[in-house]
Amino acid sequence: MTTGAGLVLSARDVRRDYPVVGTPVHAVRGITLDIATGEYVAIVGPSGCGKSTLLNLLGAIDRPTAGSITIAGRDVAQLSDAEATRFRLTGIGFVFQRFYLMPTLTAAENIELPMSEAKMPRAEREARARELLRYVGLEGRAGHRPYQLSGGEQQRVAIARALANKPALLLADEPTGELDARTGAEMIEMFARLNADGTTLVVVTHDEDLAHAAKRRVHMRDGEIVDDSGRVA
Amino acid sequence: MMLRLALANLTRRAARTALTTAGVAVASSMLLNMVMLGSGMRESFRGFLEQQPYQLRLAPRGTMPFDSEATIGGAGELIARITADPDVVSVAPVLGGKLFVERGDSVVAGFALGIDPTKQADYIIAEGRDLVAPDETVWNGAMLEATGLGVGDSVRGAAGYDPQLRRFTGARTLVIVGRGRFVMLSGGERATAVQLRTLQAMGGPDRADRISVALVAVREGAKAEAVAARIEASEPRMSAISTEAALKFVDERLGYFRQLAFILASVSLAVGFLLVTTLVTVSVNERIGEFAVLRAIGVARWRIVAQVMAEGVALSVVGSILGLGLGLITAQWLNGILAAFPGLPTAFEFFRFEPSAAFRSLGMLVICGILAGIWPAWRAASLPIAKTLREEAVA
Repeated sequence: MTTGAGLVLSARDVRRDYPVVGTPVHAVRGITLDIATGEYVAIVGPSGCGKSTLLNLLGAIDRPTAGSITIAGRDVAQLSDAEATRFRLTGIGFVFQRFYLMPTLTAAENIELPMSEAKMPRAEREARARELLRYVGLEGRAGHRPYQLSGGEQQRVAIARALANKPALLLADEPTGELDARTGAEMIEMFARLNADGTTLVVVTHDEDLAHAAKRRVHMRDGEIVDDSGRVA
Repeated sequence: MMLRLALANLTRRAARTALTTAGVAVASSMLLNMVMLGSGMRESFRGFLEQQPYQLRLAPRGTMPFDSEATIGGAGELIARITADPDVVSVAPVLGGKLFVERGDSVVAGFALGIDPTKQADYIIAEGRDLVAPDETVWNGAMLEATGLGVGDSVRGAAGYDPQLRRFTGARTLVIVGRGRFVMLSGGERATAVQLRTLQAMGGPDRADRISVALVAVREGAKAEAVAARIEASEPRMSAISTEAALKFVDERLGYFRQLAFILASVSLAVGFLLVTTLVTVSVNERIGEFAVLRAIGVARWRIVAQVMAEGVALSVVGSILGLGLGLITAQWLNGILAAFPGLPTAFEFFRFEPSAAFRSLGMLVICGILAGIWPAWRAASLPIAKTLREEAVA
């Protein structure tokens, strides 16, 4: 699932304006960005520079005011609500700052949730959930509910959930934001391993260690990309 | 998975869910009681009339049976004429009156029925036997208790009391041969039965050859209304009341009951609806972050709607089932209280369980539960994902 010559994501002149009484807010101002399959990209910049807005646009949970975003060969800006939902289910994996696991489901059930939604047979999804729990080092925690897990463990379950339907792209918004330094370092290792195993990663972060672990850093300011170091030619 | 998530969310706040379910159960039981009250007396009355072998009741023109003290003279000939109708199978004459019994310094009075024991449908023998001889009587439990007498005892009874002469009239010695349950009388009302000829004789010239009511059994296949019309045409002193006419009369008298029941049932439905809407809305408000995440990871909008609505339906169904039990218990309790109401026959029930009506009312409550979940469900499914996640993160 790639776009063009090894590209998984191609954004062209993407803008996102918010209608506010008085002057509209231009959160993202004409961003053009290509990400190749297997890349590990960190989007960094000061608070309010439009990083999370850009991530939401790339993940098809928000629509650009102008421009196009092609992910895995599909222009996500043109998708209907139902198509965008389906695309998020199968094409994109999300990891959030606050984990957002379903508190009434066990770790394994949380991982199974997107697979169940994608109509994967029960036996298959249970096997996949076990495999993913093993991958994130939580094979003994399958039956635990989120409140029985530490912050780092919850984030690892969230990563496993994001990988459940084998997405083309994994998007993470401040994934170490709620973790202490030691657990944050474990998470950085986890992301490095994910990328080494072939997952294309886009991470929005304030965490310098996490940003430096990425092979490519995209610096944003005032809704624009001001520096794109480590870009694949 | 989403259904499991819905049910798990209900048990997540177990106390709140239990309280709401209890509220829905109370609303449901009240709804059931009102539906039972709305049709209970009518259906109870219908059941009572239809289990009797008589389809017509003849009373003096313009009265209902035992609604007044009016009687009809020339009863023997009247019954003979009515019996001659080819569609009439039998006629059971009844005379109403009083029976006075002296017990020490006091007098115990009871309602007296003069009947033909071979045709009567007014009481069921619970102890002893029915009337055979003219000087025999059957009493109900209240009369026996008031007098301290029992089956087998002899007693001096009178049919009237002359206040000027200060003495009883039409007195004679009667033998109590049976204890009966008088179906048309209230539980606490004292009642006795003697043979029609005996009560007519005890009443003196005023009661000779007179009856209060005649019950008419119509041949199978014949139309009771047609027979009633013939009797009324040939006997201008009489009103012939069919079962349907009697039910219509009862319907008119119970109109206010039904209106009250309808209003209270509507209030119950509204309370159930508001309870479910409130709980589901509060629950959705607490979980908007979760819903936004579910949408973000690709859960379809309609699945969110289904999950939230399933919570409303689960509350309504469980509440309704509990309400069914609670409603039946309270109906039985209220029936017990109202059965002691003076002047009401023991056979009557205010709250009568009719499975179809009960399930219809509970079905309405479940539909209310479905409707109650629509708005919060749509709200949960329509959240702007990015904005909600941003607000949740800030919060």
